[in-house]
Amino acid sequence: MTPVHGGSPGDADNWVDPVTNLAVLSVVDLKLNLGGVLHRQLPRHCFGPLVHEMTHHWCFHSAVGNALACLSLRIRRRAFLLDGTEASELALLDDIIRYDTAMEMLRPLAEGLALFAEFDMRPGQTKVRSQPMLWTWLLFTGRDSEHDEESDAPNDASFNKMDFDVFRIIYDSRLSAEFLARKENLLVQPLDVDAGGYLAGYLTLKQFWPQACDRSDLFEDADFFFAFMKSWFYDDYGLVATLLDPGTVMIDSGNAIAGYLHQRFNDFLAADLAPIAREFERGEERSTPSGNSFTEREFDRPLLTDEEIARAGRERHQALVSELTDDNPDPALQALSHMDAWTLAQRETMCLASVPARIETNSKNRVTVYLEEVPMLGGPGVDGGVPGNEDGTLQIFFSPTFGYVALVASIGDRIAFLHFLGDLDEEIQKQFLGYNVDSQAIIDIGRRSREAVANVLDDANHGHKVDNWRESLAKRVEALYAAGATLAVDAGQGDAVREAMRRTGVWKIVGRNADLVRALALVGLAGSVGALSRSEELFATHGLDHDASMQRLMELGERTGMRLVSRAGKLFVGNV
Amino acid sequence: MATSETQLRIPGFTRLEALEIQEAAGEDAVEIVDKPANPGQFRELATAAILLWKFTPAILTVVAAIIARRKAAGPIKITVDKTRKGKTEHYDIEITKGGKESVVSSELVKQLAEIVEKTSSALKDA
Repeated sequence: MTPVHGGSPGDADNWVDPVTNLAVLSVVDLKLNLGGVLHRQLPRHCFGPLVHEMTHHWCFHSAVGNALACLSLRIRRRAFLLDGTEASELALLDDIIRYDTAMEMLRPLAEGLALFAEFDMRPGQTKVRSQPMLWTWLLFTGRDSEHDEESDAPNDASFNKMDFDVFRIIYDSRLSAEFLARKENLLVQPLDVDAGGYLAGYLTLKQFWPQACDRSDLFEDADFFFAFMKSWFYDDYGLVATLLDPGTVMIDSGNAIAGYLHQRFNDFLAADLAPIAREFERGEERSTPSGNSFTEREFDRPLLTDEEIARAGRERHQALVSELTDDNPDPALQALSHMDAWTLAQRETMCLASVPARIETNSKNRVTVYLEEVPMLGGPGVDGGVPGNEDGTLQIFFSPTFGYVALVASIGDRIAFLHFLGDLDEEIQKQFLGYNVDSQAIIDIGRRSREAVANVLDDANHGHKVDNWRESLAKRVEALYAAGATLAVDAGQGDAVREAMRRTGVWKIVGRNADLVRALALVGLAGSVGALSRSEELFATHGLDHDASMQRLMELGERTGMRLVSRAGKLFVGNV
Repeated sequence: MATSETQLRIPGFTRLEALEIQEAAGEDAVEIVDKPANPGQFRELATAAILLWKFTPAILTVVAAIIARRKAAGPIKITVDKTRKGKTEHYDIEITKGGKESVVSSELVKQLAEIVEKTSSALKDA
């Protein structure tokens, strides 16, 4: 048998590392799209992959995301500091269990949120706009945030110009053949979470959404629900407090974190969400861009989290940041502290695109950037530039927090040319010069760190405890999301539906009929942009019979208990 | 699974397309190869590849129909592998013209058949 290759060179390869928050995106081709980037008008086909990764970046740049990143850096540090004692080994293994537990419990949710952004997010009637929504506006619509500030204030309750511009991108994308293929692809993914938990996480959110709508009208706004769910889990200092609780160790730590997250899901389903949703909306109105130092950033929006516990979470997080970044008399640890401090600071930025370039610096430190021997960019080099003509990289960075776009030409990790689009505080510009822009080097450091920790684990006296924990954790994650994804399935039919969906999603539920999967995807996409009244026309475009498909899906829902579509007056609505 | 030493590997299918082929061609004719998840990364939902183990005209017609339905029909990359004594040799081939949208192109079926035929012969001669 042929060994399984990775993706072919033509396959999309877009991903985010949760520790460094490094994004690797192949979807934006700078040779073709540099002009679009400069004018903040990325092509529409980038929307799906980009909003997916932007959502990951947004989630990981949060209270929980930052705490997990710190924990991961401490794992590396503790592996480095192992001194052969049982205490140092257990401290390391304890951190590994904590990190793995939270990461694996949250992974399907993270993918579910990213897919919700692709397939369901759209501007609504509340005053809340999620970050991926705002970034879509900044990167796709050719708008300039400062220029439009007065007329297009994001909190304007009316369906303003900003909403219209974003909605147009979303509308066109969702009704494209490309998006139909993306949604079809999702619906037949395994429900089992061992393949990444895409479908389980997405369906869990889709099942939670109507539950939320039943308790507050605010959730009718898809973007409000999206932003709320992100905050419910990722801005929760209660989870941070449990994650970094010094009162637990090893399996007890894992049980506490898994138990906390399980309860958090249950709390969402049981809580009186109406007052919490109103408070969330008010909090979003008050929110302003945070400070420019990661130690000062505030992710303060406890939703149904006890104030005392949230305070403990903040303190423990701050203590961990200090442990990692404070000056240290030991030169090796000082170097590690320096590296960790920059890693944490840099998590805020997102690299949108990268392309090999030739970088020419003349004797007056003027830089010209060539793509395939065509001069594309030029200007004064950064201070201390060295005359020469070298192979390097042109990259585009985006700051979700500050809203800037930076063009960076670098040779290895040395920045030769840096240009910001938009006015920017000088201090932030200076800080950028300290960032490591060599993505490959960052990837290599991460890989080496993981390998080093894996080797330590192999040799550890208590390593088997981590292995055993991982095994039991996988079952808990599976059970949690399988239940969430089939929340609305009729009583008594849940087990059969979950079994049918384990490896091929809705495929068996719809009688292995590709046209019905396609119909289900299409009705869901049409509903996501309020185009249900166009359903028949859209179905005809794709060679599908609307009425027959909907009728069949309704019948299958009755039979299996998994109601994939439902009726709303004369229209049919997709539920997945 | 393996009924032939020669396999046709076509990347870039959605999982639904791959399941569709599997449904029509039989489970022993096709294997779906999902892009492996990397535990250290959070990635976009990837497309799958199919490994085709049987090359009857009926099966190739189904594959061609899927390719033809795509709007962006070309180029499509195909790898033909032959596994012999544990070693795999492979040829990368590009179909530069797909069929028209929604049309099962007999030309495309012919192209696929020719690819299998030619490559198998080439490998036999190698």
